Amino acid sequence: MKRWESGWFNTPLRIVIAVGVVVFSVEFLFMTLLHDVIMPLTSFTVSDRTWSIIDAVTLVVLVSPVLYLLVFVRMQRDFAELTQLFANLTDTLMIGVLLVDTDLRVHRWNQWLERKTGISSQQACGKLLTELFVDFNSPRLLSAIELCIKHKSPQLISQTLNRYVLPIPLVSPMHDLKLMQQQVSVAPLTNSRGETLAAISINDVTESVAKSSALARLAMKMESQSNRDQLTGAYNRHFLWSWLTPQLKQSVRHSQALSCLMLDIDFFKRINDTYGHDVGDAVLRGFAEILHEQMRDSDILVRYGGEEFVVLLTHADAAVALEIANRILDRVRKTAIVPLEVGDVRCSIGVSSWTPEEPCSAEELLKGADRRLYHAKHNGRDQVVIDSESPRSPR
Amino acid sequence: MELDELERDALRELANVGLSRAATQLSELLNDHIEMTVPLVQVVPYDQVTQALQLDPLASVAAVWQSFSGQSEGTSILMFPSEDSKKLVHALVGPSMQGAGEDDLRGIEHEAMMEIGNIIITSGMAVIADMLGHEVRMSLPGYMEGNLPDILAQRNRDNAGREMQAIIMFTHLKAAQREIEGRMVMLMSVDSVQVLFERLHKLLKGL
Repeated sequence: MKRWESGWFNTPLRIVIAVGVVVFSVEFLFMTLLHDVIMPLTSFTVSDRTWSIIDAVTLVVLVSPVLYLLVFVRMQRDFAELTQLFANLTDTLMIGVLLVDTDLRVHRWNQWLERKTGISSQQACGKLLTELFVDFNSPRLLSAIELCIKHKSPQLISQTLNRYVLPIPLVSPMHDLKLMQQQVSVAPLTNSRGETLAAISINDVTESVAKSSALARLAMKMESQSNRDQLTGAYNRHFLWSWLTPQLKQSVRHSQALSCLMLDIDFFKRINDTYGHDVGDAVLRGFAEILHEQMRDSDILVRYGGEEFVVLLTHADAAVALEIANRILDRVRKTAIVPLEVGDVRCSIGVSSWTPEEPCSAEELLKGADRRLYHAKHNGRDQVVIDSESPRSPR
Repeated sequence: MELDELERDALRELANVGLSRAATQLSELLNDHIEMTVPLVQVVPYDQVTQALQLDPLASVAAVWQSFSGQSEGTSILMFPSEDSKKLVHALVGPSMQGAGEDDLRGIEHEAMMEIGNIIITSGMAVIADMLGHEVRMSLPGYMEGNLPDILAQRNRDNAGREMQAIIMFTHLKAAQREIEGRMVMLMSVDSVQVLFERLHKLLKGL
């Protein structure tokens, strides 16, 4: 009978009963006096109507405390039920709810927490958080509790900046996560005695953290596996090899020549250093565009390294490759790549070819072009080199 | 309400103390050295807020707000230019954002800014509550992004028509080798501001 323990005999009830007793005693005395003393001695009489009014007043005075008591008891019972309901409510929630004071002493611990931590409400209540979790180490939660209680300002603790506040081990570790990832809010709760507690609610976001990190890994993998260079739209090295090997086999089968141009923008580092990386990126994009314009549909463009590109020309022997290389050299010289002016960007090109007469492997093809590109650079840049024997430009 | 220089200085000093506390908390949270200062405090009537904030009305602003109730009622809004807040969050939580998509990034930005803003606003409001000498109850924080007129219009719908004053704290935040100019606006009733300045006056007299 918890509801009888405190406060049921409260002030308003006491006043109602006291007033009732006083009014009733006064009336009783007055009645006795009137009926037994005054009326026999004098000729004073009281009409029936007056008697009935007096009776009614007496009845009301007698009945009202009883009615009040009945209503009051009923209210007490409803209130106790409501309190119990609210206490149970926190147990039905799918989030962790605990109440702590400034010392980190636990005042309430809901069922969700019992389930997730294996610590029962009985064990938890009255204990300090630091006693319950030996490796408790969350300065953010400490300061949030302080801010919350001292300044009555609720605090959000996101999983973005804090992965968790209470070290709760996961029953079954998810990916590389061993502790529950949490999204937490701390709100002030003041009781009737004016003491403020911090109501901490904990959301388990482990699954979404695991999901998003899995997605992030997937995205990274997909990016590395994708075929295109993001800046220039050219194919990347990964694609080059997957394309070249079957293409060479086809060349062997059909006895068709295949040529490779290796191109490098002259003094690109100087452009980057002088104008900044934004201009450097614009030059790379502009350069790739010029290459695209000079290529045929069956050719492919690869960004081979920083400012190094490879153009693979199908059905092209050395003569065709040289013609295309010279056309590229000419276009680059005559084009203004915004924001630079005409002539600011130059390039060097090395050319190598696979022919049925002089076959080679894919690696050798690229190496050959690279060697000639080196010669072009060595000979003063801004030129095409196709002759593998002499380090002199053919032009 | 006109402030004399002495009062303005005093309020600015108090704000500086409050926000340096916030900076300590943030430094701890973000594992980075963070400094916060308040170079200027202004008090203006509500209809002059937009002008006084000195922000491009067309530029996008990231705002965290908390409303408060009790003996004083109103709203505190912390604003940073969107670009700056984005860069700040990227600099601070960069590693955990690698490989995240555009939508994830927005979510991460909102969450991080909301928590950072929550700490800053709490510290700023603690100063005001101390000055007012009564308890101020804060709501949970919310996040908004938009241009300045939109944000003010949204946040002040409840108080429309009421006579309001704005205390504007210009904040200077230094983190991850970046400097960010923010604004904290506290919208409250004329009466509350009056009380605030009476207290400030007494405090100054006591010195």
